[in-house]
Amino acid sequence: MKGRKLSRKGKIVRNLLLTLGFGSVVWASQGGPMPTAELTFRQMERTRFLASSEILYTWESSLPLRELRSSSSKDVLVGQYPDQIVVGCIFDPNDPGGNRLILWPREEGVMPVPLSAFLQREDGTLCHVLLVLSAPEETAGAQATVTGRLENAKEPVETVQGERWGGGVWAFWFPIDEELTTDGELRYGTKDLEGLPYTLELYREDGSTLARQAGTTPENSQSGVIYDPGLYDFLGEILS
Amino acid sequence: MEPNKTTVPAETWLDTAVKKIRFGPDRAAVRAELSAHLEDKALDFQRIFPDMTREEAQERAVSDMGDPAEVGKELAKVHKPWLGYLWRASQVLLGVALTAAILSFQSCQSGWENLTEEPHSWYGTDWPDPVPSMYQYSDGLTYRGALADSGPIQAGEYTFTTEAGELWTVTVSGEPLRVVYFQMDVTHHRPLESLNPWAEDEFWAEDDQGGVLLSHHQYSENPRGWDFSDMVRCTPMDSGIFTDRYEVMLAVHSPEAERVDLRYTLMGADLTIPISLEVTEP
Repeated sequence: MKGRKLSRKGKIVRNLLLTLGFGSVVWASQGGPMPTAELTFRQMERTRFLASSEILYTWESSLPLRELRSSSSKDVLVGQYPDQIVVGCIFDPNDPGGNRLILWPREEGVMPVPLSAFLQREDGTLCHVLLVLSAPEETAGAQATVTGRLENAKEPVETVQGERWGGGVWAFWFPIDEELTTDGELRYGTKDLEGLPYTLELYREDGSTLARQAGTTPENSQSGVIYDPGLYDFLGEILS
Repeated sequence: MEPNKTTVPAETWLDTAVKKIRFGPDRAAVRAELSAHLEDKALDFQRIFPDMTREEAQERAVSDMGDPAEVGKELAKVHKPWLGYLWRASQVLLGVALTAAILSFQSCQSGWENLTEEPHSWYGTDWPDPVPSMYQYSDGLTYRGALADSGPIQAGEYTFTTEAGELWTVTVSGEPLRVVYFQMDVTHHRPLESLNPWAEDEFWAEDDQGGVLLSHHQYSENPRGWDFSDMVRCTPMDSGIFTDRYEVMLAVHSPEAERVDLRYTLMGADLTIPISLEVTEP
């Protein structure tokens, strides 16, 4: 029996269906990555049995993936639940195994949250980053001081100016500087910015102080959060 | 009535008739078809009128075809350019997708193997059953029978079911234990969205007598040499598009326990999969 020849429209539909099929094959071979950071974040929530949080802010590095060091996050998303904060660090959208999702108990008022990944500046400098959440809307400037990030440092007290992200989130970048002077071998604390004394000052547009807060940055003790041992080996490499 | 006389050459007639067809390949195809039609017509005239020359036959055939401009208008209505361009685009897309699929297959063999390979036990294929493989050097290993499958348990967007449950008894370091083995299917409606990569290390267990078995992650923080009898072993067996399979092995220490619950409680989750220790089929 002679097969019927497909009309042009039929051929178009056939080609598009085949394209969809082969496209699915390509997508599956890459592990089924999500196309955006937000979708990756949502997937990370689902695969950990978490509900969808309210995303406060999404930060994306301006550097392309190939220029980022392996321990530096490409995207950071901050979400909130009624009683918890969730921070997602996406290193490579195509490698869901390497991404991190950390939960923090939500506190009243301005809340510091140490980021569990390096961020990389455009000049290539790696930084520990302290996030501050729920900063009042009228905050025009902010300054954070932490003590003891650097073991054996001559100047253990570090002060940095904050960077407004949005959604009440501010970020404070503490650089990893090979030139920092130390007494003896330069060593970093094993908890990044966790568990350190800090002070925080928020300023209004006119420079007057809006809020001042001091305390100890929280430590995350939830099991299953991976502080990649490779991260600290990496620090050893760049400092040696 | 004599046909309209025209001295338009065949080539000119064809060019005029197809010039309003904007999509190039269609224009070429229609022109070829009309040219063949003209040729057939001319041959027919020569058959009917044997004294007619070829040129006369062609002229007659052209004049019979009518006004090329009018013909061209009708042809343009039928052969829309957007459909032609869409068809071409679909061909290009298909070519790109096919090439990408071939290249991805060549470069991501391991990814494909995960999806296409047969389910495999972490305990290898040298032994008929995983439990004998694990406890081959222990005393008194005895198969007691099959365990009941658990009904579907829903957690978030995942559905958990167990099957192929086995109950064994063994003595390890003088302590009699009951060893439970089963396979666990995790089904998800989103394709390729398996549980997070560390999930298998976070399953722990608790029996109804209060006995607790640590997760692999908890155990690794305080390892006890080669004694794994206090740990839940959960290992992936098979990855599919919508279902993943794990195999679970754990040892129950309490002789009075009638049930053991497989638990996942990381990040506030509260998943409990009850496993009855009653043998259904000795």
